[in-house]
Amino acid sequence: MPIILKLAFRNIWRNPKRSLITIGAISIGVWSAVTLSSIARGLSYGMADDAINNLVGHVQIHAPKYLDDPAAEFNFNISSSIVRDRLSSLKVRAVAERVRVPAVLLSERESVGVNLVGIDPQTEKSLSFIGDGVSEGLELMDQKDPGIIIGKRLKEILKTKLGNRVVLVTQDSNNSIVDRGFRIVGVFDAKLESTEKAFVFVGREVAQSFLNLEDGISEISLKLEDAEMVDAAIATLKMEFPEMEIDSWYVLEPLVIALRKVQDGFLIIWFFIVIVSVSFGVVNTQLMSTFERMREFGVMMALGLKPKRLLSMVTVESLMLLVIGLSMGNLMGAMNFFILSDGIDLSTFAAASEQLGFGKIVIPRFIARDWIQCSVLLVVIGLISTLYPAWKGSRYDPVTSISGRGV
Amino acid sequence: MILPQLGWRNIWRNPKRTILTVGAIGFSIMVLEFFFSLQLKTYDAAISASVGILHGHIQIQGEGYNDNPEIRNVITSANNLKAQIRELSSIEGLSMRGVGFGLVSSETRSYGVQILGVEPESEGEVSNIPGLIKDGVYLDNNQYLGAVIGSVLAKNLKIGTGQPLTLMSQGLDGSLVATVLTVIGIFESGSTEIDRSTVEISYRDFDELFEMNGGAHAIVVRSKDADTAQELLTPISQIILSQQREEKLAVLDWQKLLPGLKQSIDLDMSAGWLFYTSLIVIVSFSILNTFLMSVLERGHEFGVILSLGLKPKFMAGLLFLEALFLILIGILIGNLFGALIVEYFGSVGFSAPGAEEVLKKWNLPSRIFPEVSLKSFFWPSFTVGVSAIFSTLYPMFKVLRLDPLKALKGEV
Amino acid sequence: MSVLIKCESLSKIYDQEETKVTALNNVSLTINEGEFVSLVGPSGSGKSTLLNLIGALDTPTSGKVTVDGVNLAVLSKSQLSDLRLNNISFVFQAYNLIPVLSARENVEFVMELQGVSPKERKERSIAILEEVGLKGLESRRPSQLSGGQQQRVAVARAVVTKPRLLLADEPTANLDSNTARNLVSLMREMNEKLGITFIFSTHDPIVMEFARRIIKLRDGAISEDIKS
Repeated sequence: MPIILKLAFRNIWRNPKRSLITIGAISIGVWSAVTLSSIARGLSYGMADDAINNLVGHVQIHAPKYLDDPAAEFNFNISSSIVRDRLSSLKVRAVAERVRVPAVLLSERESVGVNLVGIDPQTEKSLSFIGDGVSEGLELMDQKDPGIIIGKRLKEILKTKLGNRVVLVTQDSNNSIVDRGFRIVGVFDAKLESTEKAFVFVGREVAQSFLNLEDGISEISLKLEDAEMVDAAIATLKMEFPEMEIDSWYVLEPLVIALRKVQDGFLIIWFFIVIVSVSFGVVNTQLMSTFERMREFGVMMALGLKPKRLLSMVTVESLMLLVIGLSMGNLMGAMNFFILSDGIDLSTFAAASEQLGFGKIVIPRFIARDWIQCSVLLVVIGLISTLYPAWKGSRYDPVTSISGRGV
Repeated sequence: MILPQLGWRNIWRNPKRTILTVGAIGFSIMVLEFFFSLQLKTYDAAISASVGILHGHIQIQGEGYNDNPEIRNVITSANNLKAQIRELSSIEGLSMRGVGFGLVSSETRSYGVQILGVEPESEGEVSNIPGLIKDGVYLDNNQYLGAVIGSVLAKNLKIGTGQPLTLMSQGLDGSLVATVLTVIGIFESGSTEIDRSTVEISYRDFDELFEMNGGAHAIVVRSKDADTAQELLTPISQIILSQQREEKLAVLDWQKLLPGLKQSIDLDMSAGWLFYTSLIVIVSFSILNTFLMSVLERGHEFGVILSLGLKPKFMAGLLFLEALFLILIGILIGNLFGALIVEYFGSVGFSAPGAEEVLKKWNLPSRIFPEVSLKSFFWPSFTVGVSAIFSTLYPMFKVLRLDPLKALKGEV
Repeated sequence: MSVLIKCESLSKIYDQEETKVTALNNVSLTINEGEFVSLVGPSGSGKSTLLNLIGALDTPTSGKVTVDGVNLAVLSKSQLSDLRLNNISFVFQAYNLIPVLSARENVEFVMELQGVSPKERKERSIAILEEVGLKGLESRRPSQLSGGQQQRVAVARAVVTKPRLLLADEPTANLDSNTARNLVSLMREMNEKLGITFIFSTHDPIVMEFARRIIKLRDGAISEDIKS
């Protein structure tokens, strides 16, 4: 066997230009496929991260009717410490209790529909974007803080400013309409303008008194240290609180998961297309190189080399070309991550990224599964397609190949 | 004269290599054409779907209203304007609207919604909603204070037809608007966003309630398709100018009305080209490989031709012709199979697995039926063909610099 | 001396684009072990065909070839391959060697196919290359050797497996007379020292000088069989 390897390797380098161009073609194919996939993944995984940060968290707990009809009426009484306790076997990064209802916000000049969120500012710190603080003014100090925090875009739409008063109108837990004035103490900046328009934040206890909730809350959102453990967390929580509605982020944000699934399918098809295109060239090369060596093959078979061994030699040659090209392509792909570590700026497409729900910067992401799929596909398809020239080479009958003169 | 025949025969000396090269070109063209056709059709569908529900192809609004929808930014005495614009050919529908924001309440729930004051007799020309009533009836001018609401809103409000809906808002002059509407119809537009946040009442009611004095916030126009709409922009602007109005008006096409959609399309297009370009580069490399090998192994043959007294230019030309034949055959085959695939999916429809959620967001149907179009077939053929020709440059360059003696020995 | 090769009524007919070419016409002959035979005849006489049939590279249209008592026709392709590996060696007119292997590696190649251990392979190949007069040139690749040297390597490779039979098809055709003479005398040496049976197909008079039996072929049939 070693002789086959030695022969195969030296045979590749008999025609360095040809082999280098073939290897070049393979590497470019692999590199392009891998680069594009990492950018696409950066997009979809980035979206997932954003959704999770955007108040959804990894897991949310609600009263059963709340998701269909997010009213103050559907509140419940579970404390975050109990939840943390029940999930003690998994590492929980943060658990937050929230009050969340739709409301109308009125400034002097305009009125807008929003989501009112009553929070414990401390717990949100490691959980969601609001924990990152404000760009203007002050954060809420605690859950009793009487102020309100609104998004930058909302501030512009309402034509109001820091320090002004706004009025919130909504329904309380008894379905009566209630209203209260708040002073704008802070303004936050979020990745998406829609987030800035959608949410306004007050202290949780303030919200509870405003909505006559006593101790009731609308939702618990939690984040785990390890994103893979989400299903385990849900299973545990469902056992502990069978009467509650417990959902993972992928159920709550189906668009994100759907996009990822579509990508999965598309990327495999794309890899396949790229590899088939590259294979045309590789087969061509191997066919030619086999063709040129017919006489030599004839001699080897005359010496007693079995056709199968000859086949394996030509196949090993193809394999070597494929593997070298694959490695180079992957290497170049890895370099991408250094060059593009700051991400790709999509600000020219600001409105699109706004609408589609991803931020202005896309950071390419390495998803091992994609790379492995691509490499495996390359080797498999590459070998299958070069089987033909190899088979041809081994089938040639020695007499015809050795002597030009058959008589 | 002799060159083309020689070239043609030469490519068939090595049928396998010819087939492989032609195959590479044809395959890539076929792939590109399929994806491109699919893309273009998807955009068309997305645009028609989005535009058709509510926004229309063109809207005339007060300047600045699109970015900052202030209730005071009004188009005054719109009737004259409407009549003149209607005269233009290729206008398929025109209607006027007032737009406000308010709080609506049922017995148990309240929500902030967009209130549209529409002209019942013409709204159907620019929007699909009148035709998508699933419960009850659409508005007409014989009723007072009737309202038509979206299905998701109806569900959230727990309200049905015949029931009262309280409306609270602010009028043009800042005064309070408070009244009770009756739900006469519930629509399902296909867009969850619109179904959740839209209430339509007759323009006459809107005018009274919001103290509009006959003003409107938007004149909505529908044309045959997006391209026709483009052509209408200038004539409409001219009509507006000719009226010499006090207030400044803006004419907006769907791209400005739905900037998210436009840019999503642009973004998708750019991403698409990124993928396509990579494929074209890969194929070009393949072709370069083939041509180069062919030159390298025909060294002796070239040497003989040179020794006969023919110039390197001749051989370069021969090589170029051979390449051209291969490329043309490849384009032919690629287009043939490309057309077959596009036609096939054009009749059975193409649906990406798992894409339902994504499609819903753009109001897209679950199956797209791609079409063979000049655009989607020309560009792939053109770009692959051109880059393939570029691939032949280096091999041809080598041939031009051949030394006869070396070539005879096979050293190219 | 025992019989090594027996050809009985061998015929080989080629179908060539509307004409049938009879390369061999009912040829019968016997060759004993240790002989040094040369098949002689003009181009088209059938000598190469006969050689190919004996060497199991080709199959007859009719007739039988028996090598060491075994009818070649009953052997499978795999068995024929083994036969060529272990018992029959070839030296061709040109292009004998694998271009990417050195002289020594070329010689070792066949032993590796036989499963000989690396140590033994190395020893034997160096020894045989010395025997054929190529000491010091073991690491050279074919492109770095002259025609005569290449043929010597081919001979070295052919005999290192200790075959029963060595078939040479016009081995001297590309060589000048001195080199040719040296090559054939080397092969005579191998024949006498190692007892390998040699069959040549040739029209080189130098080869015929050394041959102990000359079989003349003409138009696919034996015209003369001269033992000296």
